[in-house]
Amino acid sequence: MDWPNPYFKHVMEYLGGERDDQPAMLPISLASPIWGIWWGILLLLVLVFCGQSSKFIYIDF
Amino acid sequence: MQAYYLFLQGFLTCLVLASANYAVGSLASTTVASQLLEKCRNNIYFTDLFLGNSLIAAGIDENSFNEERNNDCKAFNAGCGSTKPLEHALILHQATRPMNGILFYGFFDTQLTDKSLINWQSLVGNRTITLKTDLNLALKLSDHTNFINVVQLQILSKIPLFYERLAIWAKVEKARRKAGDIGRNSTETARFGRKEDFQLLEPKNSLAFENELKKLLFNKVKLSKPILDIISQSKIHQNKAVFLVMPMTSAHRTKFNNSDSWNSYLDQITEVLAKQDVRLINCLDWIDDSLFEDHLHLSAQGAKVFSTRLAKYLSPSK
Repeated sequence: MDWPNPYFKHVMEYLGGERDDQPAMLPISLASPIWGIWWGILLLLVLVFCGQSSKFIYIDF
Repeated sequence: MQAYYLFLQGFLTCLVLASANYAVGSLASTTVASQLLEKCRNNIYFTDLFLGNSLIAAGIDENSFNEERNNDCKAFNAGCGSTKPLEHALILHQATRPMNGILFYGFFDTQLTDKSLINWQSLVGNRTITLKTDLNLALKLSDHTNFINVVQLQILSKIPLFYERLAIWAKVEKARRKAGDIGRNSTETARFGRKEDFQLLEPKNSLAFENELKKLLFNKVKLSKPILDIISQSKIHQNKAVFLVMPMTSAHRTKFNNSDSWNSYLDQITEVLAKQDVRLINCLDWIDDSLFEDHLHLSAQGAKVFSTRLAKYLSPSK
């Protein structure tokens, strides 16, 4: 699928770790400590949304 | 990239996870299990203690029971949903022991003789009582533990972010269900969640249940370790122990409790409990179907009716 905006795709791939070349207007170099916080947040998001929603889970006790 | 930057980023990632772990650990004090344990540890006064899973939590109305018994009676409902006998034994270890009172233990189907198993996958939700109380005792009361299992549980018990994951998932699941109900008739729910879900807690079918009973009868019915611990605790503290076969709907009774195997199982359980000086009361058909709010749980009105009837049944003449 073609992305409507190649710049957005570039930013997403950079944030996801697929590309190393920094997109223009995104002032976060690979050496920035912000990446540490970013990956921590992504790990937490994975934890939050990895519950087995299809199986019955007690949620009201 | 220099190693220094990578190290710094790794450190910050760990810091984010540690902060989240601390936050979840603090917020977890409001979960149902934590609140129940807090109540038990706070030495609240009671004479009669009700222990069991959600059938007891939903099925006992303390006020109705107290009113029918007498003025000196003070019941405490320590029932906790989605728990097993192992957690019930651990709750009892935390609770102030009533003097000369009655310990009621409510169960259904083969709960008294089921193997007690714990592993990191199953210890979620209210079953984390095992991790919040005495893990070493829990391991002693469980069957089939091995070194790896023990190490996993020891590590798990230190990470609230992991063992309280169900509390987080539940919030996501609630939002998902809400979103799923947009634009269509909402799923029928009761006090404890979607009614249809509770069918999944019953045995798969009557044949599977019958086979399970036959297996238990063939090997002679033996109480599980946590149940024996509950009985021994009640003896140590000189309390009477009364076990209750909890009320079930007519559909459940017809499907699972209407066979020779079930009658033989109940006879053997009665005999085994009697040897331990424990009385068994069969309340299976005490409550009309209209007083159930889903496949298993009594409604608030059902709880009042059941508690009153139980108190009457225990009057000196009986």
